[in-house]
Amino acid sequence: MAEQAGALAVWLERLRSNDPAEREASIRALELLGEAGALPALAAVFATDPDPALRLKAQTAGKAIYYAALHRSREIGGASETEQQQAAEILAKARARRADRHLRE
Amino acid sequence: MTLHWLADWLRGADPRARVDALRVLAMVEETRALDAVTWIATHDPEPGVRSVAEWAAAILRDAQVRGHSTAKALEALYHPKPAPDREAHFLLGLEAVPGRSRAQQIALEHIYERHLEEALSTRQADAAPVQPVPTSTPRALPRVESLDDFAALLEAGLVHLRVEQSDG
Repeated sequence: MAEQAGALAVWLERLRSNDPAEREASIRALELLGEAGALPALAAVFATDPDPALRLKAQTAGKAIYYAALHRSREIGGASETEQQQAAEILAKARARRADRHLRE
Repeated sequence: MTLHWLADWLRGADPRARVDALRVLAMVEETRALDAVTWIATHDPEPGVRSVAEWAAAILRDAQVRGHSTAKALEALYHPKPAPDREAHFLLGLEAVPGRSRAQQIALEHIYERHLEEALSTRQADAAPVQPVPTSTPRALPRVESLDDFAALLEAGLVHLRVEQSDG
């Protein structure tokens, strides 16, 4: 955990480099790290970087991190109640069909 | 790190934090935030924040016009619908095809059970599974007991296949 935080700090610092190649490398590294804490810095690149290609890369990385964070939070929350209800009804119907088939056999 | 800070920053007293949140929402094209961002573009006390909010709102409106939504993006990323032919091929494979060995059938059953458990796992997984048909919202799913159960869930789009079936 501390190692991850350290890496995040290093790459966030490099994201402010004057060298576009280093900023690009930082964007890639931050996407790999997947820390939501990198989103504001990536968003700053997206909003203000002079290089349009880097702005696009920052957006792609930012979206990947954001969606992964949303997905994780949904997984922790589990299936929605509607989905659980729907699955329960479907399983009951499948079971009834199976029982009916057994009876006929 | 969760994403709650985004909403907190957007509502917070620090104008720099509000700008950061607006930029993030624009970057990820979070169209669900369009109303909030539009409101900030009109009502924020800081002209600089209003300006960033206008910029963010324009990006979100463009995304919305394109048909983009976070829900769709998540669906496409994490629950891709299997191609119809692949789905049909898989379902066909669940039938007792002459020539398939019993070992292959058992292996296939194990694979789908594992994927099904992953797909339907809930926070209440430790609770005792509910066996009877629930009359109200269930706290936990009933057990999936057979290929029929799996096929029924698949037809309803509740299970998204990530199983590669071997030939033969």
